[in-house]
Amino acid sequence: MTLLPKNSADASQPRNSATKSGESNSHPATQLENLFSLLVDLQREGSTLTAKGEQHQKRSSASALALSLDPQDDNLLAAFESQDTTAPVLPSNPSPALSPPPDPNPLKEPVSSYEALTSLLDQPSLPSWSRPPQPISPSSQGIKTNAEEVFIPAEESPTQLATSFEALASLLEQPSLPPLSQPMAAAPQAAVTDLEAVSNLPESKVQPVQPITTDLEQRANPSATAAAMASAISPPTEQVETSFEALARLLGKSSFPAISQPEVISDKSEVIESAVEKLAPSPSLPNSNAPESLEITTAKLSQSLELTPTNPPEPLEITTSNPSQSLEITTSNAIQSSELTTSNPPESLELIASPIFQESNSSLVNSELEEQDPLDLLRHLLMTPELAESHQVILSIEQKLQSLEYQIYQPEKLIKLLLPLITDLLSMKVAESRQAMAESLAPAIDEMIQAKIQQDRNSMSSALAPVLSEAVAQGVADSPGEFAKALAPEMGSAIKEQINLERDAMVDALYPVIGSTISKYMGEAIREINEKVETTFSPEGLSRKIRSKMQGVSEAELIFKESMLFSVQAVFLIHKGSGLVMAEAQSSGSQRLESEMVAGMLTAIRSFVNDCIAQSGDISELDQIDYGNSKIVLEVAGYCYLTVALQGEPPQKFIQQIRQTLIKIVQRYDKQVELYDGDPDTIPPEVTKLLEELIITSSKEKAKKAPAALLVIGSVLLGLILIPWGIHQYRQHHNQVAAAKTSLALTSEPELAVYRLNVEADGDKIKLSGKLPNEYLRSKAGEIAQASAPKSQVNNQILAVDVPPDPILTAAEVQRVTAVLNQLPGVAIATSYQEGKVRVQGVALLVPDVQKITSTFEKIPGVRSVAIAVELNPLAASTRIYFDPNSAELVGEASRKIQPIKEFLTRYPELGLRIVGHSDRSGNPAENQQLALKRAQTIRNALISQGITPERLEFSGIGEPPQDVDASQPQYLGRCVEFIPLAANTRKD
Amino acid sequence: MISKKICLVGDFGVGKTSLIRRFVDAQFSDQYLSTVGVKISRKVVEITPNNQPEKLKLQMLIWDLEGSNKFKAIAPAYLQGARGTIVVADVTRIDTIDRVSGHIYNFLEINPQGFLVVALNKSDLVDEEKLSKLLEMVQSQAQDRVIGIYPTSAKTGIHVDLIFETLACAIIEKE
Repeated sequence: MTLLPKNSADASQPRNSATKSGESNSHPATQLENLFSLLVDLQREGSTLTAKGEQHQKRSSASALALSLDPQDDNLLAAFESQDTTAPVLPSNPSPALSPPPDPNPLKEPVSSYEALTSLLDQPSLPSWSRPPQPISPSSQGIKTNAEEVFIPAEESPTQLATSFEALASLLEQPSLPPLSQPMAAAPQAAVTDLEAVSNLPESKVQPVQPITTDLEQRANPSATAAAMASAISPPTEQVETSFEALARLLGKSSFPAISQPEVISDKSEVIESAVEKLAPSPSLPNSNAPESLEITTAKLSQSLELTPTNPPEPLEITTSNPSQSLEITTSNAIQSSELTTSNPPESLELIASPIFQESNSSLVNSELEEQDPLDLLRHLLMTPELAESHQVILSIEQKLQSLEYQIYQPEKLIKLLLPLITDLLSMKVAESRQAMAESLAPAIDEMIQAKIQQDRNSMSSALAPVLSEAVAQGVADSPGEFAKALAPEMGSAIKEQINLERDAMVDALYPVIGSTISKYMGEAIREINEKVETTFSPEGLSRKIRSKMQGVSEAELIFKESMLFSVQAVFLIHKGSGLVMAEAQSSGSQRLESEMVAGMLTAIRSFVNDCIAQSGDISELDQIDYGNSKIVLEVAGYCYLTVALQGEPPQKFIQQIRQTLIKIVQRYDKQVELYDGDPDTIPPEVTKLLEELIITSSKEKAKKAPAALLVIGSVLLGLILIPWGIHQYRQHHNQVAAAKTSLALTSEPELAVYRLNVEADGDKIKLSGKLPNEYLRSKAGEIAQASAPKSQVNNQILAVDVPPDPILTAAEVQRVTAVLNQLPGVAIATSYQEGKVRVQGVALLVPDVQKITSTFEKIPGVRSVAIAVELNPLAASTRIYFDPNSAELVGEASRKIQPIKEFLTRYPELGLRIVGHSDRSGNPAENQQLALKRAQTIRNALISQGITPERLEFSGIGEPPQDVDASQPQYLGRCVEFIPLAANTRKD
Repeated sequence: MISKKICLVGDFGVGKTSLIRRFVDAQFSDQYLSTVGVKISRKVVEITPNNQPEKLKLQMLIWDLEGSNKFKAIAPAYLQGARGTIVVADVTRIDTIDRVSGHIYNFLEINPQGFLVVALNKSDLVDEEKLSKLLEMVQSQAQDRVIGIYPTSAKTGIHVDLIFETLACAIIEKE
């Protein structure tokens, strides 16, 4: 009966708690409601509860099931369908297995308990349960399910109980006994205080539970833990009978699987799943237990009250107080352990286990205290651990679940949780299926690398750096050419960059190659030159060709020889070891070298080069020392070496000769050479002769060359220059003669004599050039030239041109004409001549005068145009100043007429003015003459007083009226002064 | 005229070049000029060997070798073909005297028939007593190819010509 709700809860509860941790908060409330209803039932039916109670309890358990299932319906089915497949298994046969209702007193109902147990054990859905042997005593069945060793008689002596609990303890495994001591010590103390507290409980034996439950209710509200506590604490009001089965169930279902499967849990990869699956059933325990055990407890309470009226409250007190106390302990422990669970499942399981022992042990202590009532004690003992265990397990599981769920939904936590596993997972996966792993990772690997590069370039570089060179080498080895192709475009700039960075390093790196490259190139270039030379038919080329054929050497070598002359200065045969000179020959012409010193230093240099520069094992010799245009050739034999100091480039033939000489010396005089000890007399004179031969051959080669080649080349060159020059000279002379003859003929002609004509003769052609004033003279000159040189072809290029008149003459003529024109009365002009253009400025009295001026100037040769700006005389008609009869004074209006005349003079400063006085016909002619002169004088004076210089003014008097005034006209017209403009030159004249 | 190669060896700064300069040019300068590589000098000496009645002219080609130290040995090629060697040490630097035997050994390894003279140079800088002690010290190191140990001074010229002439005599006589 007790197990029924539990199993039904088994099916449903785990899903609930797995779905949502939040729902565990709502649960306690419903559970408490449930409890209350149960309590009410219990109160009602408690006193009459007997064997009939079986039916009643079924009902209440059914309601409990209904309640406990209630809140889950909404969300469970959808969320965890996978669990539904397992869920029905448990409820499928709970009733037959678990329904046997244990009597509150196990002694009374042993058979039913036994049945329950056996059916429970037969249940296939609980594989973790060990199959027990046939129980000896019916009362021991509950514990027997867990372990055979445990045998608890319902009504035995305390000692037996003790042993049985010891056995239980050992059954629950030994690992963590030490931690028990502390809670054990704490538990009794707490028990005492709780006892005191509970002793104040109402003595009414009917409702001992109520205060506690209410108290618990208050506690239950705030949190899930409190709720769990409440549901767990509620059982203490019950009695012991259920505890057997409950313990069995708890041990079997919740704590045991957990303990017995640490390996499974420790398998980290499955930890979450397994935890959920295996631990989920546990939270249902308090819910399912509560109503059941309450009922039972109530029934039992009343029973015990009836049975033992003498000491009714004590067991109650103990049972109520102790569990609550132990609960508190276990709760805290459980919380701790659940916290630990996240990090290390097996450890936490141990921790969970330890409080279980504590509880069982503390109850042991309690049981000893209560020896006087074995039954109560047993109840107490059995119940306490059971409660403690269940509660603790529940709590811990709840915590775990919460934390697990929290971890699942919190990425950070999940990451933390998975972090230690990732490497293992990956390595396992890689070990299992390398290929699949590679394939699955392949698509993202480039993005991974790119992302990493973007994040941290440096670390990526440093990560890749160690393998880069090898990778390149591998790449080059795998696919030769590709790498070169990839790098090629960057090569030029890379070299440039390197040169920028460190020029010297680049030079050093290329130096070994460049020498040979250049020499190779030079060789090719020379060969090319040689080919060109061979195909050229120049006299030099031909002569060289002949020589090369005769001597049997290539032309290139001859060219080289020709350009590079050489001379031997000195030849030394030097002892290799000591550096002493054995024999020497020096050119007579050059400055003598200090043979011993040279030999010593050369030996030292040779030794130095061989010791320090030449690679070990590399048999190389210093064979040449170059300095400027000179060099020392060293040819080394076994005990001696031959040095030849020379200038210029020795031909290969000479080098061969040096070698031959050394070979001869070594072959003939090897002993003397080897044993040389500083005495030159030990060396035969033949050696010195051999050396001298080298110098002689070199000078011979020099002597041979010069004459023939130079002579041929010189004469050819001379011929090439002289012959054309001679021809040219002859022809030039001939031409000069012809030209002179023609020139003479031309100048003999008087008409042409004044003109300068050029005559050029080129063979049979005569070219005339120059200028003549007309076509006639031009043709005449041509005829004369032809006549003078009848065989020649005359090219007459004389130009017939208009000879322009001399501008100076023209200018003089213009001046002359100007002067003539100014003689005309009233004409006063000034002219300027420039480039054939005459400008005329001035005044004239009449229009015909102007025309005359124009035509006169146009007739002058050289004058191409005449520009006339002549004003017709403004004074001529208008200006006459009249006087009174017999008066020479200006009066009134007449005096005003002076002003225009003054203005005229100011306007034409180059002009002068003749003032002519007149008189009427009346009176004495002599007086009239005087009067006329006076009148002119008066005007003159007036003009002078106006600022006109007297030089510009002429005056005269005529004792009669002007010509245009005849006798018929009035007399006053005769009494006047008239004005005639004068040109400047006219004035001077 | 017979020519002979002789070498001057010794630690750097003991006065090899100064001794040669004193011998060849009869000059002395207290300026220190380190010899790089080899410097070759030449001097003709007239000697009258014991076993011969008339004077002999000998051209000495003196190889002044770069001073050595414990890290840098003399290049063996420079010693090749030398009939005699003057090992020079500095009396003011005891370590140069210690290495005299090393120089002797090096030379004889290449030229087993060669002759040696040990010159304890800069003898003008120490007193007689110390000098005689040092002479004894070198004497103990010497081998039978060492024909003489002399305190010399390029500055005062003491024993300078003597060491060269002694060596020249030995070379001529023993042949």
